[in-house]
Amino acid sequence: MKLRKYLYISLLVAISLVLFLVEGLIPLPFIAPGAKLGLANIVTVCALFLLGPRACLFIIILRTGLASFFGGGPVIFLYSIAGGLLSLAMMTALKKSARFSIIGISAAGGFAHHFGQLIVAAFAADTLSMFRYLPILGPCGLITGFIIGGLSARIISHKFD
Amino acid sequence: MSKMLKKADIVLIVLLFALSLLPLIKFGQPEPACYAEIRQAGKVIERIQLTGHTGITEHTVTYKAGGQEKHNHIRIENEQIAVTGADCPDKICMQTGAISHAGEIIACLPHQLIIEIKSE
Repeated sequence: MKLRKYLYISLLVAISLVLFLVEGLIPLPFIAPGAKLGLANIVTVCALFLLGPRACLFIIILRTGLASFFGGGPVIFLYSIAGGLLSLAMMTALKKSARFSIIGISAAGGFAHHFGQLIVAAFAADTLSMFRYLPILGPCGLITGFIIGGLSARIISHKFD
Repeated sequence: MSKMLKKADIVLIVLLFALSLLPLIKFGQPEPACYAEIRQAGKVIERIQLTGHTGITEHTVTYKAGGQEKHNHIRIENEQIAVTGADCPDKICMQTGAISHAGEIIACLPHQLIIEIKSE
């Protein structure tokens, strides 16, 4: 059982890494620094519901580490990991409360992701004016999180054995 | 998919959306350009651009009362304005110190003098 879980984790890391790299190839209009689709988060959301928060934590750390190795570097790593961890914490808490659907949880996760990044950015630049971007990035996270939640719900509704 | 969406989800999303907009209250518009309006007895006698002001500019406002001449010495240093000298009885205008943000005010009531920062 344990081995099976590790296998799942490593597979999901690989999938999320591919999604991350593929997303980099899709040209998107520049909205605000840090705004992106976050396709790789489909894996995060699915893993949270299928494998639980601990496995999800592993996936986030591995994915973020490897992704910044493939392109990004240490600074981007710091932003991503802050966003990823805050997002996971938020989603785990909301999931525990059992009041929200996957879509709501995922949307909140998308929001928390950007919020976490802004916290790091505010520290890095030593100015609260970084939060000027929140009115753009917050709704962006909600929208992408919403879509990702919908996609994840469809994936999860299939039976895994 | 729409069946899945619970009421709580919508509340959550609306709440977070509102939270997103919160910085607009503080940062909303980029700090508008400010100028200081100096009024004596209700009449505007001077208007000084504060935004972009560098160095030191000084003004002396004269107030005539009962055959006597009274003065307020106003000093604008960079984007701040202050009353640095006055021969009024209470000196409240001097104690107010320097002001620089829209809405702030320095008043010298004995001389019927008001300095108010306004944004354009």
